[in-house]
Amino acid sequence: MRRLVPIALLVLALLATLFITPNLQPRLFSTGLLVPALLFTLLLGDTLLALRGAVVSGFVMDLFSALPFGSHLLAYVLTVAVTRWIFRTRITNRSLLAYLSLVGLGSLLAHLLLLISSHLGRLIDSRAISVALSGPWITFVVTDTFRTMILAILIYALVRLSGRRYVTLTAHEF
Amino acid sequence: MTERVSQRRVALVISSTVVAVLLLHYLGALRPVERVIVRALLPVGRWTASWLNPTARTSSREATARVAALGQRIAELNVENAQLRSAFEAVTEADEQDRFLATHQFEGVTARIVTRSADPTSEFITVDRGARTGVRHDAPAIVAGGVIVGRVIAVTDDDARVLLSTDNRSSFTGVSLKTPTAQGVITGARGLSLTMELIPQSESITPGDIIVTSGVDSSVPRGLVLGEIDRIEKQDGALFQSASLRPLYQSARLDVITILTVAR
Repeated sequence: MRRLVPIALLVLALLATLFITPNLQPRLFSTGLLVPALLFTLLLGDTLLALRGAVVSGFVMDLFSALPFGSHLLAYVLTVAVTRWIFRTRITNRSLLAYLSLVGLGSLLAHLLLLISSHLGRLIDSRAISVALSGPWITFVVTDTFRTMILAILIYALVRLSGRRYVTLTAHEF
Repeated sequence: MTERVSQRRVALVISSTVVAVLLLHYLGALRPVERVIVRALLPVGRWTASWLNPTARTSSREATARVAALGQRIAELNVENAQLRSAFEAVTEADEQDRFLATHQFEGVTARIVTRSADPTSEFITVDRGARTGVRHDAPAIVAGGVIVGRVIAVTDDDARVLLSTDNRSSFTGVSLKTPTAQGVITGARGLSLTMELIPQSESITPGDIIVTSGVDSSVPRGLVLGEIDRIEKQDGALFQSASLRPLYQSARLDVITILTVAR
Protein backbone atom coordinates (compact mmCIF):
# COMPACT_ATOMS: atom_id res chain seq x y z
CA MET A 1 0.00 0.00 0.00
CA ARG A 2 2.85 2.32 0.93
CA ARG A 3 4.38 1.92 -2.49
CA LEU A 4 1.16 2.35 -4.40
CA VAL A 5 1.29 6.15 -4.59
CA PRO A 6 4.86 6.45 -5.89
CA ILE A 7 4.33 3.58 -8.36
CA ALA A 8 1.13 5.18 -9.67
CA LEU A 9 2.90 8.53 -9.90
CA LEU A 10 5.76 7.01 -11.87
CA VAL A 11 3.45 5.22 -14.29
CA LEU A 12 1.37 8.36 -14.88
CA ALA A 13 4.50 10.50 -15.30
CA LEU A 14 5.90 8.04 -17.84
CA LEU A 15 2.69 7.85 -19.90
CA ALA A 16 2.29 11.63 -19.79
CA THR A 17 5.89 12.21 -20.88
CA LEU A 18 5.54 9.72 -23.72
CA PHE A 19 2.14 10.58 -25.11
CA ILE A 20 0.60 13.72 -23.62
CA THR A 21 3.11 16.53 -23.14
CA PRO A 22 4.78 16.16 -26.59
CA ASN A 23 1.38 16.62 -28.24
CA LEU A 24 0.46 19.72 -26.30
CA GLN A 25 0.89 23.12 -27.93
CA PRO A 26 2.81 25.00 -26.66
CA ARG A 27 5.16 22.35 -25.34
CA LEU A 28 5.02 21.91 -21.59
CA PHE A 29 7.24 19.74 -19.41
CA SER A 30 9.60 17.36 -21.03
CA THR A 31 11.79 15.22 -18.82
CA GLY A 32 10.40 17.50 -16.12
CA LEU A 33 7.59 15.05 -15.34
CA LEU A 34 9.66 11.94 -14.79
CA VAL A 35 12.47 13.58 -12.81
CA PRO A 36 10.27 15.02 -10.00
CA ALA A 37 8.35 11.72 -9.89
CA LEU A 38 11.60 9.75 -9.46
CA LEU A 39 13.00 12.21 -6.89
CA PHE A 40 9.69 12.26 -5.02
CA THR A 41 9.95 8.48 -4.72
CA LEU A 42 13.57 8.82 -3.61
CA LEU A 43 12.77 11.40 -0.96
CA LEU A 44 9.94 9.28 0.39
CA GLY A 45 12.71 6.93 1.42
CA ASP A 46 12.30 4.26 -1.23
CA THR A 47 15.65 4.34 -2.99
CA LEU A 48 15.22 0.90 -4.51
CA LEU A 49 11.87 1.81 -6.04
CA ALA A 50 13.31 5.05 -7.39
CA LEU A 51 16.20 3.20 -9.02
CA ARG A 52 13.93 0.49 -10.42
CA GLY A 53 11.59 3.22 -11.66
CA ALA A 54 14.54 4.93 -13.33
CA VAL A 55 15.53 1.69 -15.08
CA VAL A 56 12.00 0.91 -16.28
CA SER A 57 11.06 4.45 -17.32
CA GLY A 58 14.42 4.97 -19.01
CA PHE A 59 14.01 1.68 -20.89
CA VAL A 60 10.51 2.55 -22.11
CA MET A 61 11.50 6.11 -23.06
CA ASP A 62 14.39 4.71 -25.11
CA LEU A 63 11.97 2.45 -27.01
CA PHE A 64 10.09 5.51 -28.31
CA SER A 65 13.07 7.78 -28.78
CA ALA A 66 15.31 8.50 -31.76
CA LEU A 67 18.28 8.95 -29.45
CA PRO A 68 20.70 6.02 -29.10
CA PHE A 69 19.19 3.26 -27.01
CA GLY A 70 20.27 3.60 -23.42
CA SER A 71 20.45 7.41 -23.36
CA HIS A 72 17.39 7.87 -21.15
CA LEU A 73 18.18 4.74 -19.13
CA LEU A 74 21.63 5.96 -18.17
CA ALA A 75 20.48 9.54 -17.63
CA TYR A 76 17.67 8.64 -15.20
CA VAL A 77 19.61 6.02 -13.24
CA LEU A 78 22.60 8.30 -12.79
CA THR A 79 20.35 11.24 -11.87
CA VAL A 80 18.70 9.21 -9.09
CA ALA A 81 22.06 7.85 -7.90
CA VAL A 82 23.79 11.24 -7.79
CA THR A 83 20.79 12.97 -6.23
CA ARG A 84 20.62 10.28 -3.56
CA TRP A 85 24.29 10.79 -2.77
CA ILE A 86 23.77 14.56 -2.46
CA PHE A 87 20.71 14.00 -0.29
CA ARG A 88 22.65 11.70 2.03
CA THR A 89 25.81 13.73 2.32
CA ARG A 90 24.84 17.37 1.81
CA ILE A 91 21.20 17.89 2.75
CA THR A 92 20.59 18.12 6.48
CA ASN A 93 16.91 19.04 6.60
CA ARG A 94 13.63 18.22 4.94
CA SER A 95 12.54 21.71 4.07
CA LEU A 96 10.84 22.80 0.86
CA LEU A 97 14.02 24.64 -0.14
CA ALA A 98 16.09 21.47 0.22
CA TYR A 99 13.57 19.54 -1.87
CA LEU A 100 13.44 22.24 -4.54
CA SER A 101 17.22 22.40 -4.70
CA LEU A 102 17.38 18.65 -5.23
CA VAL A 103 14.67 18.71 -7.89
CA GLY A 104 16.27 21.62 -9.73
CA LEU A 105 19.66 19.97 -9.62
CA GLY A 106 18.15 16.64 -10.65
CA SER A 107 16.44 18.21 -13.66
CA LEU A 108 19.62 19.94 -14.83
CA LEU A 109 21.57 16.74 -14.29
CA ALA A 110 19.06 14.64 -16.23
CA HIS A 111 19.27 16.96 -19.25
CA LEU A 112 23.06 17.10 -19.13
CA LEU A 113 23.36 13.33 -18.78
CA LEU A 114 20.95 12.85 -21.68
CA LEU A 115 23.15 15.11 -23.81
CA ILE A 116 26.31 13.21 -22.88
CA SER A 117 24.83 9.71 -23.15
CA SER A 118 23.23 10.47 -26.53
CA HIS A 119 26.59 11.56 -27.93
CA LEU A 120 28.33 8.53 -26.43
CA GLY A 121 25.58 6.27 -27.78
CA ARG A 122 26.23 7.50 -31.31
CA LEU A 123 29.62 5.80 -31.09
CA ILE A 124 27.65 2.51 -31.09
CA ASP A 125 24.66 3.51 -33.20
CA SER A 126 25.76 6.16 -35.69
CA ARG A 127 22.36 6.27 -37.38
CA ALA A 128 20.65 7.59 -34.26
CA ILE A 129 20.52 11.30 -33.57
CA SER A 130 21.99 12.97 -30.52
CA VAL A 131 20.86 15.92 -28.45
CA ALA A 132 22.25 19.05 -30.08
CA LEU A 133 24.09 21.43 -27.77
CA SER A 134 22.75 24.79 -28.91
CA GLY A 135 21.30 28.05 -27.68
CA PRO A 136 17.69 26.84 -27.94
CA TRP A 137 18.63 23.66 -26.04
CA ILE A 138 20.15 25.66 -23.19
CA THR A 139 17.08 27.90 -23.09
CA PHE A 140 14.85 24.84 -23.05
CA VAL A 141 16.82 23.19 -20.21
CA VAL A 142 16.63 26.30 -18.05
CA THR A 143 12.90 26.82 -18.62
CA ASP A 144 12.15 23.12 -18.19
CA THR A 145 14.05 23.09 -14.88
CA PHE A 146 12.05 26.10 -13.73
CA ARG A 147 8.77 24.39 -14.70
CA THR A 148 9.92 21.21 -12.97
CA MET A 149 10.52 23.09 -9.74
CA ILE A 150 7.03 24.60 -9.89
CA LEU A 151 5.62 21.11 -10.36
CA ALA A 152 7.71 19.94 -7.41
CA ILE A 153 6.13 22.63 -5.22
CA LEU A 154 2.70 21.29 -6.14
CA ILE A 155 3.73 17.73 -5.30
CA TYR A 156 5.27 18.89 -2.02
CA ALA A 157 2.08 20.78 -1.10
CA LEU A 158 -0.10 17.78 -1.94
CA VAL A 159 2.04 15.46 0.14
CA ARG A 160 2.05 17.82 3.12
CA LEU A 161 -1.71 18.18 2.87
CA SER A 162 -2.12 14.42 2.89
CA GLY A 163 -0.04 14.22 6.06
CA ARG A 164 2.85 12.16 4.62
CA ARG A 165 6.35 12.88 5.83
CA TYR A 166 9.67 12.64 4.06
CA VAL A 167 12.11 10.35 5.83
CA THR A 168 15.84 10.55 6.00
CA LEU A 169 17.67 7.69 4.37
CA THR A 170 18.71 4.98 6.77
CA ALA A 171 20.17 1.54 6.44
CA HIS A 172 16.85 -0.24 6.86
CA GLU A 173 15.58 1.27 3.61
CA PHE A 174 17.66 -1.33 1.76
CA MET B 1 29.38 -1.70 7.89
CA THR B 2 26.16 -3.56 7.10
CA GLU B 3 24.75 -0.38 5.58
CA ARG B 4 27.78 0.06 3.37
CA VAL B 5 27.57 -3.56 2.19
CA SER B 6 23.88 -3.11 1.42
CA GLN B 7 24.58 0.07 -0.51
CA ARG B 8 27.29 -1.66 -2.54
CA ARG B 9 24.99 -4.58 -3.23
CA VAL B 10 22.25 -2.27 -4.51
CA ALA B 11 24.73 -0.31 -6.63
CA LEU B 12 26.08 -3.56 -8.07
CA VAL B 13 22.62 -4.92 -8.84
CA ILE B 14 21.43 -1.73 -10.51
CA SER B 15 24.59 -1.18 -12.54
CA SER B 16 24.59 -4.84 -13.61
CA THR B 17 20.96 -4.51 -14.66
CA VAL B 18 21.71 -1.43 -16.74
CA VAL B 19 24.70 -3.04 -18.43
CA ALA B 20 22.75 -6.24 -19.05
CA VAL B 21 19.81 -4.35 -20.57
CA LEU B 22 22.09 -2.38 -22.89
CA LEU B 23 24.05 -5.46 -23.91
CA LEU B 24 20.96 -7.57 -24.53
CA HIS B 25 19.35 -4.78 -26.56
CA TYR B 26 22.28 -4.35 -28.90
CA LEU B 27 22.59 -8.11 -29.26
CA GLY B 28 18.90 -8.25 -30.18
CA ALA B 29 17.97 -10.57 -27.35
CA LEU B 30 15.47 -8.12 -25.88
CA ARG B 31 13.57 -7.68 -29.11
CA PRO B 32 10.59 -9.86 -28.08
CA VAL B 33 10.17 -7.93 -24.83
CA GLU B 34 10.52 -4.58 -26.60
CA ARG B 35 7.99 -5.67 -29.19
CA VAL B 36 5.44 -6.57 -26.52
CA ILE B 37 5.89 -3.23 -24.74
CA VAL B 38 5.69 -1.20 -27.95
CA ARG B 39 2.61 -3.08 -29.19
CA ALA B 40 0.94 -2.58 -25.83
CA LEU B 41 1.62 1.15 -25.77
CA LEU B 42 1.02 2.02 -29.44
CA PRO B 43 -2.79 2.04 -29.09
CA VAL B 44 -2.45 4.37 -26.09
CA GLY B 45 -0.29 6.69 -28.15
CA ARG B 46 -2.62 6.59 -31.14
CA TRP B 47 -5.66 7.36 -28.99
CA THR B 48 -3.90 10.17 -27.11
CA ALA B 49 -2.53 11.74 -30.30
CA SER B 50 -6.00 11.66 -31.87
CA TRP B 51 -7.61 13.16 -28.81
CA LEU B 52 -5.06 15.96 -28.46
CA ASN B 53 -4.68 16.78 -32.15
CA PRO B 54 -7.81 18.58 -33.42
CA THR B 55 -7.03 17.77 -37.04
CA ALA B 56 -6.95 14.07 -36.15
CA ARG B 57 -10.58 13.93 -35.03
CA THR B 58 -11.77 12.51 -38.29
CA SER B 59 -14.13 9.67 -38.91
CA SER B 60 -12.78 6.46 -40.39
CA ARG B 61 -14.56 7.33 -43.66
CA GLU B 62 -12.63 10.60 -43.91
CA ALA B 63 -9.41 8.80 -43.05
CA THR B 64 -10.07 6.27 -45.81
CA ALA B 65 -10.75 9.09 -48.26
CA ARG B 66 -7.48 10.77 -47.31
CA VAL B 67 -5.58 7.52 -47.81
CA ALA B 68 -7.14 7.15 -51.23
CA ALA B 69 -6.20 10.74 -52.09
CA LEU B 70 -2.61 10.09 -51.03
CA GLY B 71 -2.49 7.00 -53.21
CA GLN B 72 -3.70 9.02 -56.16
CA ARG B 73 -1.11 11.69 -55.45
CA ILE B 74 1.65 9.06 -55.48
CA ALA B 75 0.47 7.98 -58.91
CA GLU B 76 0.52 11.62 -60.09
CA LEU B 77 4.04 12.02 -58.72
CA ASN B 78 5.18 9.02 -60.73
CA VAL B 79 3.88 10.70 -63.87
CA GLU B 80 5.47 13.99 -62.91
CA ASN B 81 8.78 12.22 -62.25
CA ALA B 82 8.66 10.73 -65.70
CA GLN B 83 8.00 14.17 -67.21
CA LEU B 84 10.83 15.76 -65.21
CA ARG B 85 13.11 12.98 -66.32
CA SER B 86 12.42 13.64 -69.96
CA ALA B 87 13.08 17.35 -69.42
CA PHE B 88 16.56 16.54 -68.07
CA GLU B 89 17.62 14.27 -70.93
CA ALA B 90 20.38 16.65 -72.00
CA VAL B 91 21.97 16.56 -68.54
CA THR B 92 24.86 14.12 -68.02
CA GLU B 93 23.40 12.46 -64.88
CA ALA B 94 20.16 11.58 -66.73
CA ASP B 95 21.55 8.09 -67.42
CA GLU B 96 22.06 7.58 -63.68
CA GLN B 97 18.50 8.70 -63.03
CA ASP B 98 17.17 6.28 -65.64
CA ARG B 99 19.09 3.47 -64.01
CA PHE B 100 17.71 4.46 -60.60
CA LEU B 101 14.11 4.58 -61.78
CA ALA B 102 14.50 1.32 -63.68
CA THR B 103 15.90 -0.60 -60.74
CA HIS B 104 13.76 0.90 -57.93
CA GLN B 105 10.03 0.97 -57.44
CA PHE B 106 8.26 2.61 -54.56
CA GLU B 107 4.95 2.21 -52.85
CA GLY B 108 3.46 4.04 -49.90
CA VAL B 109 2.73 2.77 -46.39
CA THR B 110 0.23 4.89 -44.48
CA ALA B 111 1.28 5.51 -40.90
CA ARG B 112 -0.32 7.27 -37.99
CA ILE B 113 1.62 9.44 -35.59
CA VAL B 114 1.80 7.94 -32.11
CA THR B 115 3.97 10.46 -30.33
CA ARG B 116 6.49 13.20 -30.88
CA SER B 117 9.90 13.91 -29.40
CA ALA B 118 9.67 14.71 -25.71
CA ASP B 119 12.44 17.26 -26.24
CA PRO B 120 11.02 20.26 -28.16
CA THR B 121 14.48 21.08 -29.59
CA SER B 122 14.27 17.82 -31.53
CA GLU B 123 11.77 17.43 -34.33
CA PHE B 124 10.94 13.80 -34.79
CA ILE B 125 7.74 11.78 -34.69
CA THR B 126 7.04 8.14 -33.90
CA VAL B 127 4.64 6.35 -36.24
CA ASP B 128 2.86 3.03 -35.91
CA ARG B 129 4.35 1.28 -38.94
CA GLY B 130 7.66 -0.52 -38.96
CA ALA B 131 9.80 -3.04 -40.81
CA ARG B 132 7.00 -5.61 -40.91
CA THR B 133 5.04 -3.34 -43.29
CA GLY B 134 8.03 -2.47 -45.47
CA VAL B 135 9.32 0.68 -43.78
CA ARG B 136 13.07 1.05 -44.26
CA HIS B 137 15.74 3.27 -42.80
CA ASP B 138 16.17 6.55 -44.74
CA ALA B 139 12.80 6.17 -46.47
CA PRO B 140 11.12 9.53 -47.17
CA ALA B 141 7.81 10.40 -45.54
CA ILE B 142 5.24 12.53 -47.35
CA VAL B 143 1.81 14.04 -46.84
CA ALA B 144 -0.89 15.13 -49.29
CA GLY B 145 0.40 17.04 -52.28
CA GLY B 146 3.67 15.09 -52.38
CA VAL B 147 5.13 17.31 -49.68
CA ILE B 148 8.05 15.58 -48.02
CA VAL B 149 7.97 15.97 -44.24
CA GLY B 150 11.07 14.00 -43.32
CA ARG B 151 12.81 10.68 -43.49
CA VAL B 152 12.97 7.52 -41.36
CA ILE B 153 15.96 7.51 -39.00
CA ALA B 154 15.09 4.50 -36.84
CA VAL B 155 12.84 1.53 -37.46
CA THR B 156 11.77 -1.49 -35.45
CA ASP B 157 9.35 -4.25 -36.38
CA ASP B 158 6.27 -2.26 -35.36
CA ASP B 159 7.18 1.42 -35.36
CA ALA B 160 9.53 3.96 -36.84
CA ARG B 161 11.00 7.32 -36.00
CA VAL B 162 10.80 10.03 -38.68
CA LEU B 163 13.11 13.04 -38.46
CA LEU B 164 11.17 16.03 -39.74
CA SER B 165 12.71 18.23 -42.43
CA THR B 166 12.61 21.25 -40.09
CA ASP B 167 15.01 19.62 -37.60
CA ASN B 168 18.55 21.06 -37.60
CA ARG B 169 19.97 17.60 -38.32
CA SER B 170 17.80 17.00 -41.37
CA SER B 171 19.37 17.41 -44.80
CA PHE B 172 18.08 17.03 -48.37
CA THR B 173 19.35 18.08 -51.78
CA GLY B 174 16.84 20.18 -53.65
CA VAL B 175 16.26 22.00 -56.89
CA SER B 176 13.96 24.82 -57.95
CA LEU B 177 10.98 23.58 -59.95
CA LYS B 178 11.09 26.74 -62.08
CA THR B 179 14.87 26.89 -62.51
CA PRO B 180 16.13 23.29 -62.62
CA THR B 181 19.78 24.35 -62.51
CA ALA B 182 19.33 26.15 -59.19
CA GLN B 183 20.31 23.32 -56.83
CA GLY B 184 21.25 23.47 -53.19
CA VAL B 185 21.32 21.74 -49.83
CA ILE B 186 18.22 22.09 -47.67
CA THR B 187 18.55 21.82 -43.91
CA GLY B 188 16.11 22.38 -41.09
CA ALA B 189 16.18 25.57 -39.08
CA ARG B 190 15.22 25.18 -35.41
CA GLY B 191 12.00 23.33 -36.10
CA LEU B 192 10.37 26.30 -37.79
CA SER B 193 11.64 26.66 -41.32
CA LEU B 194 14.15 25.39 -43.88
CA THR B 195 17.37 26.86 -45.19
CA MET B 196 18.67 26.27 -48.71
CA GLU B 197 22.37 26.86 -49.09
CA LEU B 198 25.11 26.49 -51.69
CA ILE B 199 22.89 27.82 -54.48
CA PRO B 200 25.16 29.08 -57.26
CA GLN B 201 25.14 32.87 -57.30
CA SER B 202 24.53 32.85 -61.05
CA GLU B 203 21.16 31.09 -60.71
CA SER B 204 18.04 33.20 -60.61
CA ILE B 205 15.55 32.30 -57.89
CA THR B 206 12.66 34.36 -56.60
CA PRO B 207 10.41 34.27 -53.52
CA GLY B 208 7.52 31.92 -54.16
CA ASP B 209 9.60 29.38 -56.10
CA ILE B 210 8.82 25.80 -55.17
CA ILE B 211 11.81 23.67 -54.18
CA VAL B 212 11.62 19.92 -54.77
CA THR B 213 13.98 17.02 -54.05
CA SER B 214 16.62 16.66 -56.72
CA GLY B 215 16.91 12.87 -56.69
CA VAL B 216 20.66 12.99 -55.96
CA ASP B 217 19.99 11.10 -52.73
CA SER B 218 19.33 7.51 -53.79
CA SER B 219 16.71 6.92 -51.10
CA VAL B 220 14.65 10.05 -51.92
CA PRO B 221 13.06 10.22 -55.37
CA ARG B 222 13.04 13.41 -57.36
CA GLY B 223 10.06 15.71 -57.31
CA LEU B 224 8.91 15.62 -53.69
CA VAL B 225 8.06 19.13 -52.52
CA LEU B 226 10.37 20.52 -49.82
CA GLY B 227 9.09 24.06 -49.47
CA GLU B 228 8.57 27.49 -50.93
CA ILE B 229 11.21 30.21 -51.05
CA ASP B 230 10.41 32.91 -48.56
CA ARG B 231 13.53 35.09 -48.54
CA ILE B 232 16.79 35.18 -50.49
CA GLU B 233 20.19 36.16 -49.11
CA LYS B 234 22.80 37.29 -51.60
CA GLN B 235 26.17 38.82 -51.04
CA ASP B 236 28.11 40.59 -53.77
CA GLY B 237 31.20 38.67 -54.75
CA ALA B 238 30.15 35.47 -53.00
CA LEU B 239 30.10 32.20 -54.93
CA PHE B 240 26.81 31.03 -53.45
CA GLN B 241 23.54 32.48 -52.30
CA SER B 242 21.15 31.08 -49.75
CA ALA B 243 17.41 31.17 -49.20
CA SER B 244 14.98 30.69 -46.39
CA LEU B 245 12.15 28.27 -47.22
CA ARG B 246 8.69 27.99 -45.79
CA PRO B 247 7.72 24.35 -45.24
CA LEU B 248 4.34 23.47 -46.72
CA TYR B 249 3.18 21.48 -43.73
CA GLN B 250 2.62 22.19 -40.06
CA SER B 251 4.40 19.69 -37.83
CA ALA B 252 1.99 20.27 -34.96
CA ARG B 253 -0.95 19.27 -37.16
CA LEU B 254 0.58 16.13 -38.66
CA ASP B 255 -1.54 13.08 -38.07
CA VAL B 256 -1.28 10.62 -40.96
CA ILE B 257 1.75 10.38 -43.23
CA THR B 258 2.84 8.07 -46.02
CA ILE B 259 6.26 6.48 -45.93
CA LEU B 260 7.60 5.58 -49.34
CA THR B 261 8.99 2.07 -49.51
CA VAL B 262 11.38 0.38 -51.91
CA ALA B 263 10.27 -2.92 -53.39
CA ARG B 264 12.83 -5.62 -53.21
